[in-house]
Amino acid sequence: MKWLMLFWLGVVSLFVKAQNQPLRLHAVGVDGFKNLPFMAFSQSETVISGLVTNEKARLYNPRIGEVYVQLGRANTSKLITLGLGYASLEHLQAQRLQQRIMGIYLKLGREHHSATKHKAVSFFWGYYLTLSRTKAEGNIVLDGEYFPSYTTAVPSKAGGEAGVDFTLGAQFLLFKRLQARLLARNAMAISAFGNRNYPYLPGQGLRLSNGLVTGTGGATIQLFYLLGSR
Amino acid sequence: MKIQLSIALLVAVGCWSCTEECGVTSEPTLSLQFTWLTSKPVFTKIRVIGSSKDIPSVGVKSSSKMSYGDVYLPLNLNESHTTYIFEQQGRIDTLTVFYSTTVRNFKRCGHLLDIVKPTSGRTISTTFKRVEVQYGSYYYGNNSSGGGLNVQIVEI
Repeated sequence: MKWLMLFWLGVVSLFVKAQNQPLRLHAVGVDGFKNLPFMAFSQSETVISGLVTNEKARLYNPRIGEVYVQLGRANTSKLITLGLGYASLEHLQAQRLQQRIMGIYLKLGREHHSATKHKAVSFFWGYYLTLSRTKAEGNIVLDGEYFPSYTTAVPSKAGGEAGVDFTLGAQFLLFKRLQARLLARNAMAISAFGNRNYPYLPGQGLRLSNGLVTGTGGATIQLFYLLGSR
Repeated sequence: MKIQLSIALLVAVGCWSCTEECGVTSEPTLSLQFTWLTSKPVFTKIRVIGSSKDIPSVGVKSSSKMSYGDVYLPLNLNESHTTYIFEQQGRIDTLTVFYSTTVRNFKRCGHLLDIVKPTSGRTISTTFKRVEVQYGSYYYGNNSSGGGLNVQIVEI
């Protein structure tokens, strides 16, 4: 935990240059939207990554949650967004390989907003660094026709990933202080999981290739509660 | 340059249709093969010890596209061996095949189950006069021709 706090402090200090205006907590937020696509398509089998094996897979039982804090100075269009996330979901490949992929991650972003004040509608763009710690474990399960079904564990694997992404977004004031943020992002991630076993990278999303470096991306909706006035 | 481009295109198009067979993906079968010296006998019944139901006297459907044989029989993954009893007019034979399972990892398939030769002990026990067993991989793809477990009845 100590290294985590030191890391945040160090990175925030890089972003926060000595200026006259003090840095203040601007908003707190949550993102639970990322569960919905996996819930909606939990029964859909598709070739998730790679066209080589033609093995179809599905991802289901998602538990993905993120909390955010947003820091900014008064009358500025630049905000720092810090996020902490947890993701866990199950992966079934070709009715033979069942796995649970889980991970925690940190997100650190710099956002440039179109408005310096709270407005009904505003836009922003930004770039994020995501650092993840992922673990995957599971079983090979084979249904038997003439003999009892067979199950054996596959080796569990843990490792780290890092990704950078470019984000575009629009934000809408729903009530006085409640804001909905629509984000679209594309990212490049480097992962120790250079393997088809792990089509989802916590904090990054579905991967587009099995390689060490892969493209990812997606869209989401976040809810932010605005604190104070800018 | 045109030739190089054509070759590259051919390779690309060729590999587009490449597929791998990702190990044991359902209840596996072994292939039983009779050589030209021993034409395939007419079995009236084939029994498999431990099987929950009768198997057809002509065998079952192969679990692997890459395997080659005259009769396909199911393997019990919960044991390290499977015993078969072959009944024909005036004769009964037995065949026990020994094996072990292993989990392998391939970049494109991910973790998969394969069947391999036991590290020690017998590989086969039978009343047939001469048989040979080959432990082909159930993975077909990169440097592996697949095919799975194959038993040749050389002499009945």
